Amino acid sequence: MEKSVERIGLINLATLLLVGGCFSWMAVYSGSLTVLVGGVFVAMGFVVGCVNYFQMRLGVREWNERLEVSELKRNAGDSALFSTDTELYPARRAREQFEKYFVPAFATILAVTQGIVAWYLWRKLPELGPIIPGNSLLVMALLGVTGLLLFIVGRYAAGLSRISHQRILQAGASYLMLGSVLALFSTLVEAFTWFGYPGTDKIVAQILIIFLAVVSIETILGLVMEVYRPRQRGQMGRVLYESRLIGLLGQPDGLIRTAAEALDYQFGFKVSETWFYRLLERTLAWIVLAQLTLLFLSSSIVVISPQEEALLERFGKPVPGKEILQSGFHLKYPWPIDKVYRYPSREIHTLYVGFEDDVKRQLEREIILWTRQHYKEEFNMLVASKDVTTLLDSSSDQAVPVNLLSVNIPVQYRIKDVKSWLLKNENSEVLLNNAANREVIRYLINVDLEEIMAEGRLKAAEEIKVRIQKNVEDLGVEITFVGLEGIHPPIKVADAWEAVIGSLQEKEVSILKGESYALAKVPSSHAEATNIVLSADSLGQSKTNIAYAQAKSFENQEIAWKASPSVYTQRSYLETIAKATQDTRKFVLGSTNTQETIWLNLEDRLNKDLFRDLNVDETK
Amino acid sequence: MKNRNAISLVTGFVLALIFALMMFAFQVRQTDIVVVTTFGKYSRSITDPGLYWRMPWPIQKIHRFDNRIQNFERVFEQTSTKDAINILITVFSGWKVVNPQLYLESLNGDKLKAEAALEPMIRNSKNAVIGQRLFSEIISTNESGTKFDFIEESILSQVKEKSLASYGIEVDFVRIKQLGLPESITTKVMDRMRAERETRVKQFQAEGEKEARIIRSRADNEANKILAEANARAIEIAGQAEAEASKYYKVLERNPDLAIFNFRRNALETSLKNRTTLVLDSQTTPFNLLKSVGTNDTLSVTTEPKN
Repeated sequence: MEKSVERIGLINLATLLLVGGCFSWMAVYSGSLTVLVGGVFVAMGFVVGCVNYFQMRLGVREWNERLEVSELKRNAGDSALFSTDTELYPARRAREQFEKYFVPAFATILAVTQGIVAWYLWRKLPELGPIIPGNSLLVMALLGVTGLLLFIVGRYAAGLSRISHQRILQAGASYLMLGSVLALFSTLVEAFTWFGYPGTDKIVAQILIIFLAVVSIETILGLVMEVYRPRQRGQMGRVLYESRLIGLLGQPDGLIRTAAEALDYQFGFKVSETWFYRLLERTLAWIVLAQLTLLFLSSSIVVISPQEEALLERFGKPVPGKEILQSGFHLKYPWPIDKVYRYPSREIHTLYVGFEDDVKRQLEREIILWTRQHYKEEFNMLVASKDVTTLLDSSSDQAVPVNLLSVNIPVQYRIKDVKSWLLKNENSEVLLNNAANREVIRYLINVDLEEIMAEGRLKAAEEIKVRIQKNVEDLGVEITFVGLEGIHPPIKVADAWEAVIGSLQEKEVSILKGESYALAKVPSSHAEATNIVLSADSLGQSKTNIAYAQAKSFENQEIAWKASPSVYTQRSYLETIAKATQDTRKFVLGSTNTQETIWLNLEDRLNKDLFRDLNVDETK
Repeated sequence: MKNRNAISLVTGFVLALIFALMMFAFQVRQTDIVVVTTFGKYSRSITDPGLYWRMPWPIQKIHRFDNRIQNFERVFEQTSTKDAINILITVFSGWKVVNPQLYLESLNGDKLKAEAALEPMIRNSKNAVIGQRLFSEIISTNESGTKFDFIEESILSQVKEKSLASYGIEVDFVRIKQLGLPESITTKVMDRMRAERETRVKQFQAEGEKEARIIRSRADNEANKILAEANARAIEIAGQAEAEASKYYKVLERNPDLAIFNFRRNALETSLKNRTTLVLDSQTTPFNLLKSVGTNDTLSVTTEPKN
């Protein structure tokens, strides 16, 4: 191994160190995740380069030692001072020991580190960034320079490594070539960011992290395979920390070569030597170039959708006569001379005041009730109250003459002047939203709760619409609709409102019950009065009739009396006694000469029904 | 190989051209203000859109700002009115860069720094202005008494001059976006609202009861009148019947003894009709028969009393 190899190794190391520093600075400056992960790869490459350089030095020492021993042997003949190999080749022994113990240990640590770093980066990725589009230009330039540097140094080292006994250079060279590819990727990501696609950065960074994890697994598998590999004396072993995947990604032409060889093997003849393959190989670059040119020229064609309008700018200036492109087909100078900024201005847009909602909730909504939350979030707005004397709490000493109200107001609008909409405010939508909020609360603070919830509702919607329109006239927007979709007391007290409605019904119920009582009472009393009069009438009639009958009866009795007063009297008396005492209990006391005390039990007899209820025989 | 070299040459030329253009030229959009610095020193500001030339980095550096109105908004903040009522208030404002050189020098052209610088100014003005106003000047059903617009103008006037002089940015407007009450007061307001409703409930219930009772009472009154009239008529009819009957009773005067005997007999019959227990002496007719059967007294049974 020549001394020059050691020098190349040193150059690789220095390049990786320099580029690693550049990547770190650029990652901070640009906020790019891709550059950050690229920097991690270059840093890994630097560590690998250090070990690689040390191994090379051992190789150079061994090579020098071998030369010295041959020289000694040639000069001294057989009278050698040292007889064993260990004594003759200490440098070789040192290299062998290094390769036997240190390299596997290092490869293991490297693989584990790669795995841990990949896991850590994956977890931290959401917290990092975002990429700063304003710095893309400078970062692209620097990435171009670093990529070129890595490519030149890496290509040279890779070329040298193909020579036998200098294959050890391959590990460092692979990382250098990988660095150049990562610089290219990062440049593309910056370019995408520059053109307004910053999301590309995260996607590429995620792919690279997955690649780092795969490399870690590959290194571990390589270690295991190395243990079971059959060894032949004199054959050069593989450098354990060298990754084939990194080699392939760093030198994609090697991948193409491998693919061509695979095709040859599969078809049984040299596909790579057919005229078509050769033609394709010759013209592929031109085809790609033509595609890119076409892609560039296609930026001259603009198709604006029916709901859109677009601003056309030439070098940032509005183009006279074509300031605003309407829907349809348009031609323009290619990018970056002419640029088009589209906006769906003809579309009706909606913003919501007083609540936040989401599509899922809208679809799932069933019944809208005051007592149930019907939007994702509802805000309580302050509304004036006529009842200024209301006191909150004597201890807090604060009288707040306000009420709270939940309002759900959708505001629909359309852009009538896209130029004003896009050029006057950094985010006209946010301003419109804020202005709409402001006008709603501005209106509510001067109206009474009862009023706006009832007859003032329609007037409020119209008034708020006029006010918002006046406020955002400068933005080139037309408010097409403001609806007081829902105005209700906060959910927490909505049931009390329902109770009031309920009490109104109760009031009506009470009145109706009273009326129904009255409606029944008067006719009933009329009926009763009629009954009283008629009863009196019939009683009077009866009394008269009875008197008449008694008079007639008396006349007849008088005849009987006159005939025999005593018999008549006795007969009438006995008839009366017999008839009247027919159902009465009678005790007849027989008189004696002795004085007797007679006890009579005049208690009521037990009711027969009682015996029946008790299920007892009366006779018992 | 020749083919490849040509492609490389073309690609390289195009890339070099693009890179050179990127390094030596820049665009200014309608929405941009650009400040050019040469070795860090301010050179010029560009507000007109178009294509401009520049010395490459690091000689000249381009600082690009948005010349449109920037929206600025912060969260709810609790403050106190003149009459010591705590309220929550959010304001939103719009500002724009009018002195790009000062904006670059004082805030490094950083929007976040500009917002951080504006925030204390706006908060200070907002709290000071609100502190000078009564709650009823912010919220009231009397629209002419409220100073809502005036409050916004007062906050703006306090901020406008300072921000322009210090940072080169002009605050275009400051407006109130949201008003609220602290949580504890919100709960109390809700309690009060509930109490108000409960009062209404009781009021309506009582009104209903009152109406019902009035209606019932009127009905009862009318019914009583009707019945009273009917009773009077009944009494009148009864009197008439009595008078009519008395005509027939004159016949009784012809034999008062018989009439009295009849009355007594009727009275006896009537009084013995219901559940009665009679304890009778065996001398009482007709039970005296129990003793006198077989004696001479059998025929001496007489009615008692004997007139």
